[in-house]
Amino acid sequence: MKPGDVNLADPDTFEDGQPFDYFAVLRREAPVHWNPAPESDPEHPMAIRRGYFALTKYADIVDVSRDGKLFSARVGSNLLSDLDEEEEGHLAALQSMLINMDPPDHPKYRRFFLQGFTRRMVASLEPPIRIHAKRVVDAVAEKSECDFVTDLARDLPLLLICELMGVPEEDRHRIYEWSNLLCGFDDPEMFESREAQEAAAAEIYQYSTELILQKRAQPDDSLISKYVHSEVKGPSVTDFELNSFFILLCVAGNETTRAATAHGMRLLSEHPDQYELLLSDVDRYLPGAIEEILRFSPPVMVIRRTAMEDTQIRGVDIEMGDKLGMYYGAANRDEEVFEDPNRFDITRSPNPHLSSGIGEHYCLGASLARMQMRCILGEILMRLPDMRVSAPPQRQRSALFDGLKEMRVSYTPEVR
Amino acid sequence: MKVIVDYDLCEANAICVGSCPEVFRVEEDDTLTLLVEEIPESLRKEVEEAARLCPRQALRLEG
Repeated sequence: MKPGDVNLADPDTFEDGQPFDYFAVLRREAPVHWNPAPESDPEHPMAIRRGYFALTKYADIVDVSRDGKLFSARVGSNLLSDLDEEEEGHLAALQSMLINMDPPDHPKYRRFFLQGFTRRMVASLEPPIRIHAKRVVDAVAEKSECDFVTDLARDLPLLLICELMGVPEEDRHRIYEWSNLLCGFDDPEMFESREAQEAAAAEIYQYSTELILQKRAQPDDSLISKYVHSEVKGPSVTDFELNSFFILLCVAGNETTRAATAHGMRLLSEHPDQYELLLSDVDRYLPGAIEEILRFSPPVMVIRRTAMEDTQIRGVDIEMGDKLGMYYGAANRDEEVFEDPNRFDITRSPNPHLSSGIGEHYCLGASLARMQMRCILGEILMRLPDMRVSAPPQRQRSALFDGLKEMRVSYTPEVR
Repeated sequence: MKVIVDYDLCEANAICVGSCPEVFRVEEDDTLTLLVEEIPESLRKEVEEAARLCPRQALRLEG
C-alpha cells in the first residue's frame, strides 16, 4: 500500500473499520498527506468538495491542537465538509457551538459551560448513573442474547444527557432520534433526505428553545437551568448559544459514548486474553481497559482545523485557508509514542491517547463519558461475564464517526 | 526545575496528580495546588510526564 491508495474522505473507506494499516503507511511515508476530495455527490449538504491535508503523526496533531490562533476550529467549522453558500445558516449554527469557537471567545465560553462538568459534578452523578446501569442490565439479564448497541450502550448516555438537561422522560426518544438524524448524514439508512435533516435540526432548536423558556420560569437542578440562571461572570450567553450547546451535548454526548461502549465489548471479545485479565479483577483493570478501548477505537475519527496563515508542517507547505484533518486513530498508534501500538493491552500505562482531543478543545465531557463506561461495562462484567459478540457488528457509514448501529451479543442468562 | 501552571487553561482534570501526587494536588473546589516549589531531581521524570499528559497542556517546566 502507498499514500494515495485510499481516500480518507470517502465513507466507504471505513466500511470495515478504521484503516489502521493505511494510517501506518501515511505515518511512515507521508505524515502530512494531501487527500483529494472524494468522488461523491456534490449536492450532498455535507459534501467534502475540496482536498485537505491528513495528519497522522501524534506530535503534529498535538502541535496543531495547541495552536488555536494559527489553526482555527471556527473557520468552516471542525468538520471537513465544505459548507457552501447555501449552507451559510448551517455554518453559522455550527460556529455558535463551543467546539467550533476560537480564542478569544472560546476560553470565555468554555469557562461558562465548564460549571456543569467539574469533577465534583461528575462524582455527584455517579450514584444515579450506577442505578440506571443496573436497570439497563436488568432488562436483558434473563435473556441469552441481545443487541448490545440499542439494549446496552444506548440508554445510559441518553439518560444522562436528558437528566443533565432536564429533559422529561417522555421526550427522551425524540432526543435520540434527532441526534441520530444529525449525525447520520453519510449513512443512507440513517439519512433520509436533506429535508429530514433540516427538519430534525429545526425541531431540536424549537424543543431546546421551549426548554430554556421553561427553565427560566421554573428553575430546577438541571444544567440548562444553571446556565440560564448562571451567576458566573462571563460572556452574555444568548439563548441561541444555549440552544447550540444543547444540540452539541445531545450529539457529542450520545453518539460518542454509545460508540465507545460498544467498541469496548467488541474489542474485549476480539482479545480473549485481555478480557480474561479484566475479569480477574474488574476494579483494578477497568479504568485502564477504558483508556485502551478509547485509544484503539476513537469514536470521533477526524477533526478539522483550518490554517489562518501560510505555514509549514514537517517541511510541507500549508497555505492560508487549507484544511487539516487530524486522524486520532492514527496518532494513537504512532510508534514514536506507543510501544507495540497495534497490541490491545489494558495495562498500558501511561496511555496518552488523543481520543478526547488535547489542548484548548479537550473534550468537556471526557470524565463524564469515562464514568458512564465504568458504570455500564462494570455492571455487565459483574453480572454477565461470559458475554461475547456473536455476529459481525454493523457499522454506521461515515468518514467522521466510528459508530456501530447493531452488534449482537450472547451470554449465559443471569439466574435470579 | 520549576512547574508553571497556566491557570487560565487548567481545569483540574487531575491527570498530573496521577503522574506525580508528590507535586500536584487537586483541591475540593477543583483548583490545582503545587505542593513543592522547587521540583527535586528525583521527581523530574514524573513531572515531565505530567506536563506531557496534561489534556489541557496547562503545565510548563522551567530549568
